[in-house]
Amino acid sequence: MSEAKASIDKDTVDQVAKFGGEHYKYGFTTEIDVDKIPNGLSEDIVRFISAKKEEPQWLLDWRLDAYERWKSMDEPDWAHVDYPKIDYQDLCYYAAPKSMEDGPKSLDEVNPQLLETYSKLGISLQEQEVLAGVKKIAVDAVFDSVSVGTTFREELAKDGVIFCSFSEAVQEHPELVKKYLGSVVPKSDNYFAALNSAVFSDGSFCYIPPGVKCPMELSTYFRINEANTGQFERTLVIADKGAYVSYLEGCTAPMRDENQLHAAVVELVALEDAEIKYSTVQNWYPGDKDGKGGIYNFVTKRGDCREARARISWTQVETGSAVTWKYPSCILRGDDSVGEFYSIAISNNMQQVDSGTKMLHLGKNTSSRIISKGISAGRSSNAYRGQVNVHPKAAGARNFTQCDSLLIGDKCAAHTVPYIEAKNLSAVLEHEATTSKISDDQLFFCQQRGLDPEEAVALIVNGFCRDVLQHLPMEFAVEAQKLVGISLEGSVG
Amino acid sequence: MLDAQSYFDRISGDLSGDVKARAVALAAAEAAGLPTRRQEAWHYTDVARLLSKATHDTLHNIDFAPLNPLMAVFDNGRLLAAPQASGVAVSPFHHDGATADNAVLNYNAALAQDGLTAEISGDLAQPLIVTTQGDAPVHLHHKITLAPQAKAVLVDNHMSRDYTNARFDIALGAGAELTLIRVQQAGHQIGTSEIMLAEGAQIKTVALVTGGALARHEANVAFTARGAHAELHSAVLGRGENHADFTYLIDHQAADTSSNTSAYNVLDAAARGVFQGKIIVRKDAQHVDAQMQTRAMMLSEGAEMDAKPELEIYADDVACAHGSAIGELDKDALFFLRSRGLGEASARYLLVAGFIEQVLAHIDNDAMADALRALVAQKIAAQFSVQGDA
Repeated sequence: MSEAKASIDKDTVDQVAKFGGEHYKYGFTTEIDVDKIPNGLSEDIVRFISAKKEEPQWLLDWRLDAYERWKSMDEPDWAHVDYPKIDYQDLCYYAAPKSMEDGPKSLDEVNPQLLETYSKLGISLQEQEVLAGVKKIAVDAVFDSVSVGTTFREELAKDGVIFCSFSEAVQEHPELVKKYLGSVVPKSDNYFAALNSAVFSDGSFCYIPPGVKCPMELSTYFRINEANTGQFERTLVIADKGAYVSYLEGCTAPMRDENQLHAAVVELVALEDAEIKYSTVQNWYPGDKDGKGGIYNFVTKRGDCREARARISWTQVETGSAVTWKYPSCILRGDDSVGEFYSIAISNNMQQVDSGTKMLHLGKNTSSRIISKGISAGRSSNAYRGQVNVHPKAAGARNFTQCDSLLIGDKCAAHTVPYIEAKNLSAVLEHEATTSKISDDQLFFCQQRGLDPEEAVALIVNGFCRDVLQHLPMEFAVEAQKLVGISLEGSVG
Repeated sequence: MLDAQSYFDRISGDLSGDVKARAVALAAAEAAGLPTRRQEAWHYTDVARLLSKATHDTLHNIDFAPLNPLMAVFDNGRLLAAPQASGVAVSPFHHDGATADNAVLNYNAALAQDGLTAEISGDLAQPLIVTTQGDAPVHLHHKITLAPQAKAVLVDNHMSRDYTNARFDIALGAGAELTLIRVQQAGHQIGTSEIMLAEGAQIKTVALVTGGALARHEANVAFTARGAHAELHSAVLGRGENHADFTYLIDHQAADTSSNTSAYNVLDAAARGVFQGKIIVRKDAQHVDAQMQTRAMMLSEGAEMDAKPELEIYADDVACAHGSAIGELDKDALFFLRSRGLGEASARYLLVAGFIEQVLAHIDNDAMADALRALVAQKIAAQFSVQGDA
């Protein structure tokens, strides 16, 4: 074991001990010099970030406009979450690993500690065969705001697929960025989106040309590392006519005592006959059992089925973060377009989740499906908030929604807040919601067969979530099933 | 909408109770103003816009005569004659003008000129019908109390053509049973019912809205002790620019309580139906069974249905569910009836009447249910795009 790893491990052990032995598999911190700017947000900071990334004038103007709008906006307070007021002038808006200054030309030049971090996350930046060589996954790893390595680009380039960091896309494909940036989530869409638009650091950019089925599943691992740096990722995925892409986003973060803000924006654009499948496993640090620490995850995710027969599918497994505020949505603009949302949200201890989706039916014969499974344990609060809106011109719109809540223990809370708005005669909208608990009979049955209570809960909950888990790509589904079990440790017995 | 301050100045000489307290309530109401769409509970109901709309709906007299009812008629805001029967103790209207936390109730606190204050004991055989009629804006504050084990049928018969802000405070003692029927055919009404259920008390409300430019029926039901049960059923026959909004707060504060809510909306022309139902199950209120169903049948382009069935659950051993379905008239059902030889219009009539019947069927008293069925038949036949060669 290397010295560095030993010290990290010790650090982890100490921190875990400090937080009362909380189970957090990925709780470690990598010590790397970080190029930081002073805390606070001002026009100068926006200019600094833009200059640092050598952005063109139009993007700087775009950021400054977003900043101006953000200043006049209020932080939303309608979500069913409660957290101490965030002092936006006490956050740091840019942090890049210092080793980036020299610009690593290859993976060999990347700081070994960074690679160590990735290997702990189970990512290898080298080409890797996943699941016995069945599939290759390209990883555009994000480490505290700046992409440090991108793989598989050449192989993807053969098919004309562009998959790179957002900053690179700004330099190399400005026409695409300019055309699509902010076209799904306008810069003044909401408070957090406006903040992101002003100060976004980096993120991923993906363009699939017409008629191309992306040869591999694309993946980005997000990681928040430096204490007190909000991470403001910007992801833009465009599937041109007839294209297909499956995009995976997985998240883990080191254990931290102070709350960290994460306000990402994800924009998906699907043109005629295109399909985007976007899967997320989110396992950021949720805080300890008393709610100390943990990530604030205030994310705006939206997909635009811009042309006919486009299809966007969101699948998410949310197990982490202290506070989650997230509504991956679909704008079904094209006729016959389809939007899907499959979600598992697990909250334990003091976690608070307010998540759901919006399906806006604008085109004719559009359809959407929402399957949401919320599981609350400990003293957590878990809310589904969803909107299904059928525009007067959206003839033949169809929606099916099912949102089920499972309560484990008598101190948690589960909420369901659906908004169902039909403005068209021929719309057919169905909505079902249930709330239940794991019955004593089920637990008894499993235990009688030799499972311990925690295994029994994991089994039952996995069964409860099956409808969603089966929509995850296989690599994710395996991880997600384990995560379901880990997240609920300590919730029974 | 009336100018509340000048209206208050005009009527304050006649107002009962503490006029100073009323002035305070009015100031609070005026400071907040009528609710706007920016308030979450009013997101789908734009009060100012709806109040500016004229209402042209026909008022049909409902034939309650076969029921031999007790009548309390409020004509332009004044009770004509107090109902007299054994088991009903009517007290003179008294108003303390206490300030509440919302503008609608504060306007009511400031401006309510009258209301029925009645305590019912025993098993009241005759239904008690509270009729609101006239063509002037009125504010009414009714207080109905059922003694433990009392039984009654109460009808809130809204026949006014103008603006009504009506508040019902309904308290049911242990084991009491109340059936509350409400009908609104026209006008602008913002009604608030504060319902309190003691141990084992049961309330069943059946509401029918067949018209009105604004029909906002808000009910807040508090289940304060075990065994309390509430049924809240509503039917809307909306056409023209009718706007019907049912907003419920169903607050299960105690264990072993149950509720069953259903809303059936038929929406024709540019009518709009709104249903907002929030079920709260408080901490330690175990073994609550709460069910909620919303159904809407859209009959024409331009109609709109907005539903927000909410669950807020803080106890784990509960069975709570809500369902919502919105669609047009079932073409298969229509085809089935046509294949049996019914004309298009009479088939549609049957389907609409059958849809509404699912609410009316909750009324146990047959004569009462028949009176409402007759009204529904009149409304559908006269005003909906479903009649014809019947």
